[in-house]
Formats: sequence, C-alpha cells, structure tokens
Amino acid sequence: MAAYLVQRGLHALLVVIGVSLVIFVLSRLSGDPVSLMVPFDVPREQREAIRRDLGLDQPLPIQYFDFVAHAARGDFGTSVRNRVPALRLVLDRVPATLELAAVALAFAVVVALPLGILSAIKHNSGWDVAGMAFSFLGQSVPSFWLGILLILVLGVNLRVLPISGSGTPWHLVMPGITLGSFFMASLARLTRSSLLDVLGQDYVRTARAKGLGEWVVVGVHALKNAAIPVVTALGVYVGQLLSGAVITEQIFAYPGVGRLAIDAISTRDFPVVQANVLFVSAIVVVLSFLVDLLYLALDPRIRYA
Amino acid sequence: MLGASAVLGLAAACGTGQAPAAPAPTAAAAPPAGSAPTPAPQAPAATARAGATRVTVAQGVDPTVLDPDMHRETPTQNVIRHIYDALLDRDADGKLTPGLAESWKFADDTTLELTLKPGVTFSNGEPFNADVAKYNLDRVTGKLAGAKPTLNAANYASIAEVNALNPNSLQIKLKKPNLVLLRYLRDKYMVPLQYTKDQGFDALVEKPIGTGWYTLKEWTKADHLTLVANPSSWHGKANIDEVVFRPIPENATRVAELRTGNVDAIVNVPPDQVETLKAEPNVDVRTVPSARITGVFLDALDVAPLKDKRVRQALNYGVDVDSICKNVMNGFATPVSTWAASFFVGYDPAGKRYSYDPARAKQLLADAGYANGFDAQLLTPNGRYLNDVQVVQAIAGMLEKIGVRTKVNAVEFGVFAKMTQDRTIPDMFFAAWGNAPWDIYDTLIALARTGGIFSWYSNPMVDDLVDKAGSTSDDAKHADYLKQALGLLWEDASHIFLYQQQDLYAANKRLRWQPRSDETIDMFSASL
Repeated sequence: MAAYLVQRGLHALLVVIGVSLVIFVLSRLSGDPVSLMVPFDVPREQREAIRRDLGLDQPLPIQYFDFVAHAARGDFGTSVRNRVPALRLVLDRVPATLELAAVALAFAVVVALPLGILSAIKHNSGWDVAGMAFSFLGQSVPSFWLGILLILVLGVNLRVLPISGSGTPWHLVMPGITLGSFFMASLARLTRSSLLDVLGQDYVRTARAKGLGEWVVVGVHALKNAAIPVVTALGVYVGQLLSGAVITEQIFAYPGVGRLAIDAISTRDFPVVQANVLFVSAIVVVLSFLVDLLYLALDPRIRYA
Repeated sequence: MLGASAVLGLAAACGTGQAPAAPAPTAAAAPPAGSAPTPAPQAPAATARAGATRVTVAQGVDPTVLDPDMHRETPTQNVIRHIYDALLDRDADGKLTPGLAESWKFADDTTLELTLKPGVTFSNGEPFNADVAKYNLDRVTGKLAGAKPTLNAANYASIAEVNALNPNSLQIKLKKPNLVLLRYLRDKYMVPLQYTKDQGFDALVEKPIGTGWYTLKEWTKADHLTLVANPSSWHGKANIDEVVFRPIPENATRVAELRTGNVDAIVNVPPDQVETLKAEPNVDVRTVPSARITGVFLDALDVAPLKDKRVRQALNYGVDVDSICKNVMNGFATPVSTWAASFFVGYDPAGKRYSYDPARAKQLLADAGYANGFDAQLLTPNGRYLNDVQVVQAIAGMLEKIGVRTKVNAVEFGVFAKMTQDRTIPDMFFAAWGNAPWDIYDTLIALARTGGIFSWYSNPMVDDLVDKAGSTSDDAKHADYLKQALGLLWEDASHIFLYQQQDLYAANKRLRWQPRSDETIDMFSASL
C-alpha cells in the first residue's frame, strides 16, 4: 500500500509538471501580454521597457526554469495585469468556485439518484420513459442557453432570485442548476444502467429467492454494487465541474476561478494562467486519487500494490 | 453632426428629473430621490444605507489596478476618475477645462506653465502642490530612480524636464513644441508623494489615495467595487453618496440586471437588445458617437496590387459603407471620410467620402492592370469590435463583386494583437482605431507616417505635413496641417475608410447622466 501511495504521488507530480510545461509554452506561443496592455499606438521602445520590466525579454527556457524554481517555493509570480501575487488571485477565488461546484454536484446527485433508481426499478414503464426523456433534455441543453433562460424566467419575469454576482446563498441557485444540469442528466442515466445491470445478477435473484423485501434487495445489496461506476464518474465530474464553471461563472458574473482563467487567458496574463491551471490540475489529480481510495471501501476485492 | 454628445433618447429622463424607476402616476407620489428604485432584497448593491443615495454601474470587466499609471484600460480609468484628479480635464465637447491646475499657458514654444489650485489635499491629509505634480510627471517620464516603467509613458515622451517654481506654479519644459501634451495631461491622475514613498507605488494598486470626489470603500474583485463620496474633497461633496461598479461580462446578464433595477447604468448594449430595452418603462437607451473609427488597413509597402493608388481607390469605391452601417451595424454607425471624428482636432467638415461605385472600381482595377481582379487575405479580430466578423464578411462579399477575391481569417484578439505587433499581418486587416486626446496627430504618427508602429503606408508628403503639425505651437496651424494630411490620405486611399461606431449605453430613468464620446463614465456629475 505504501509503495502504491508513493507511486501514485510521483505519478501525480509528473502530471502536474507536464501540465505546467504545456500551459507555459501554449500561452506564450499564442500572444504577448504587452501588446494587449497598451494601445496599438505605443511605440516599440516603451513596449520593450515594459517587457523587460516583466522579464518577458528573456529566452523561453530561462523563463520556464525561473518559473519552476519560484513555483517550487510557492511563488507563482506577480500578475501582469493586476500587479498582485498570482497565487493570491487564484486562492481568493477558489472558495467561490468550490461553493458553486458543491451546489451543482448536490443538485445533480439529489435529482439524479432518485431519478435513476426509479427508472431502473420501474424499468420500461412510463416513469422510466419520462425520467430518461428529462435527463436526455438535461444533457442536450447547452449551459449557456439554460443560464440565460433561468435569468429571464426566475430573475427578470418572476424576480425571485438574484441575477448575477455573489454574496448570499440565493446567488448560488441559478448558477448551481446551470452547472449541475449536465451532470445530473448523465448521472441519472449512469445510475439507471448500472442498477439495471446489477439487478439482473445471480445474487440479486438469490436475495429475492430468500424472500428479502424489495427495499432490502435494492437498497442494501444492489445499490452498493451499482455505486462503483457512479463513484468513478463522480470523481471525473468534479474535475469537469471546475472547467464547466468557466461558462457558468461568465454568464452569472460569478467571481470564481473559471472567470479568472478566462480573463487571464484573454489578456495573456501568464503568471495567473499558470497558477490557475496548475491549481485546478492539482485538484483534479488529488480527486482521482481519492476516488481510487474510495474503491477500496466499496469493493473489498480490490487491492492496490 | 454638431457637438460631441448628440444624446438620443434622453428626453424622458431630463423631463421628469427625479422620477422614480417604477412608473409613478404623478410626481407627488414619487418617493424622494434618495430611495432605492426597485425593491430587490437579494441584491446587495441595491440596499443602501437609509437616506444614502447609491448608483450601480455595470461595465464588462473589473478594474485591474487602481494605480492610474499602471493600466491603459477604459473600465479601469472610469473608476480611477472618481478617486483621483488630473491637472486638466475635458468637457463632453472636448474643450480642456481646469482640474488641479487653475490655468495654463505656453510661455514659449517649449515651455508650459501651470498655476495649481491652492489648498488641495489628498484623502489621507497629504497636501497637493507643485512638488507632488513634478514627482508624478517624473514618474511617467522615467526620471524617478527605481520606479518601474509606467504604461502611459509614451504619452509624456515629449517632456524634457519639470520644475516646481513655487508651491502653486509648475513649469514643464518640452523637447519640441507639442500641443497634444495638454490633452494627455488630462489623463495623468495625480498620486500622493509621501504615501507612495513610504509604501511604494504598489500600495496604490488596491489602496488608492487621491484628491478626487470619492474614496474607495471596498473592493471584492470580480464582484463589486464601492466608492463613497469624500466630504472633505476640494470639489465639495458629490450628489451621489455611493457609486458601485460591478463587472458583468455577459451582455444579456447586464441587460437583465438593468431591467430589474439592480443596476442603474450599463455599457455596450447589444444592438439587438435595444428594442427590448426601449419597451421597458424605467429604462432609457442612451447612445453617443464613439471616438473609435474603423477601417481596413492595406499593406501598401509589400503587396504588389495594394502599392497602386488606383487599386486602393477601387477598394474604397467597391465597399458600400452606408449599407454596412444600416444593415450590419443596425444603424449604430456613421460613415466617415478618413480617420477623424467630427470632434477631433484635424477634422475637416468639407472632407469627401468615396461613394459606392462598383463600375468605377472595376474600371480603376482594369486601369491598374487587374482587370481580372486579384486574391488577397483579409484578417479580422473575432469579437473585439461590435459585429467585427459580420462587417468583414460583408466587405469580402462586396469586394468579390469587383473581382477582388478575399479569404477572411478571423482570429482571437490576443493573436491579432501579436500579429500586428510582429508585423506578420496578411495583405489587409480590419481594425478600429481609438483616439484618447481627440487630436488626429498621434493617430497619423502611428498609422500613416512612414515607419509608424501601425503603418503599412508611406507618403513623403503626408510625413512632411504630420511633422509640421508636430512641431508647431500654433493651434490653428497644427489643425490645418492635420486637415491637409487627412485630405492627402483620402485622395491616396491609404486605407479603406469605413465608419465611426456609436456607443450604446442604457440607464435607469431615475439617473440623470449622459454618456460621453470618450467612453468616460462620470458619476460625480450625475444625480438622481
């Protein structure tokens, strides 16, 4: 187990370093912050002076090693645009995005699990058809469209929810639904198919033959085994939720890391892009690790070595 | 078009004065001006202190820094204007007005003398005087040891040295005559001396100290920034107690927040939302001609067909600018002769426009030896300027009809900016050109003078006129040289000249405020 943990840790480190290199090179190839910071008519001498001040006149490999050396000590540099430490900008935004992701995930789970279970138990019934049609809709509606629709109906026409910004729990409702709807839909379908699969297994037939109640058969025996693929998917979803938050945060003017990423990329604010991407990729790596550990609890047959 | 701010759709707001946002039958039934318009308990920005007046402005983005010399962004400048003052200011029509300087005059061609307002203090109690002004100008001209290069340095490059003659008298020595400098002094906001010496200029980034109407109350980045009126400001106390700036990137969301009364003014109304907003009882759409002029840049240095004046003229005759303004820009654009808006120094009211004449265009192409037309690349940024890609596609369709087959390439603005800077642009590209000083001189230096950073054109006669305009201290001569230069550019068809945009704002009717052509949002001169 210890060897496994070390191996996983090294693996994770390798992934994060790889991501840092890719994002470093990609962001620099596609633009230059100084050309976006000053108007077109600023002469070259002034541009060069600013570039020197920001260290952007150095060759790329030197810039990269400089970045890695500082990042290893927790210093991701200073935002080119905002002139404050890049890591602080990211960390200030993390709680907001985590709150949003939690609400979205909670919405997805609370709606999807009952929907999926009901559809599986009442297989091929009207419930099943209606439930799957609903989830099909949820999966195919673009979040951009859904967000604007919610704003117009709940915000403008009914005026029951705040339209944009942050500050109260109510501010999380519309973004949470917008962000969570896609995952709700795929989670419901996954729960249904996974449970259907388990319900056809021999041990379920045995449990029924023993005369156990339907609640015990489904609730205790089937669900636990059906949960394994669902948990795997959840781990992946959380990573996707963080990236899906980019669009949702933009629509609802929500101050999270997704919007910070958009702003930083469009202004080529390299230190912020790097800190942002590295932080999010670290979260995803840690989550996938946690999911692996969760398997151990769900399926005693699994051993890591 | 006379005057800079031909404001449309404002009659209702002016007429009713302190009308509340909700439609009220009579003025007597209206609540006092100070009350919040639409009760929206969930929105923090709408719940002001009892009796305090608050106005919320939604721009597309958050300010980046509150250090006036370390940014070049309009949304940031709009916040900064409320906190700091400059030596000079400018009214909506472009006339220079006193700021921290009461008066100014050129003692000779290269010596500018300003008399400063006495008794002005910063919000931390520090005095403002000629020493502080010199310190500020030394910073932006790179004469302050250890100070980083500022982003506005190019605007003050003509300054040779600055002297504080006495506490209220400032002398600016120029390297050569430069009339545009006065207009740039309007953008040089004065920061305190002792505060920045003690804590460094970086302290201004999040904790600004100025002499202006407002002070910073709180700033939750990407969410809201609240300014509170400074009662001890030398201006006196502003009409509106608190001004909140909220960054809302999505157009539809900004419009929704305005419709529900949670914000009082929004920028960049999408043209297709104008009718929806006009139907709202508590909202006005307010438009103003922009200082941004669009055009298609032509590489007349390296691309064989475009070196020929007749070809460039043919391209101008081949584009129906009126149709683009009407059909692609929904009427929110006005065709222009060259690069000057009517309120710029150098604008010639007699300036001619190319008519839409495809037959003449084909004839000119044939005369130049391109009877069968030619192929060309046409680059545009995607989503940077209002309807940019649609406009360029319309242009491409029109050019096709005169035989010029263009391949349109739409790229993200960051890529576009790098391509223009590296001079790796293709044959032609579309761009809008802003002009902060409202004087066409700097525009011509950048995009028409030989060797200009944005110039793919060379004409010794234009260079000569631009240089003459840049070395006189006589306002009338300066403007006259510029007019002549613009006339030459038109005749020589240096670019495909297109249109001047209109900026679209919308505001709650309770707010008495007018947008300006320089994209400035001044809430200190607004009222409820």
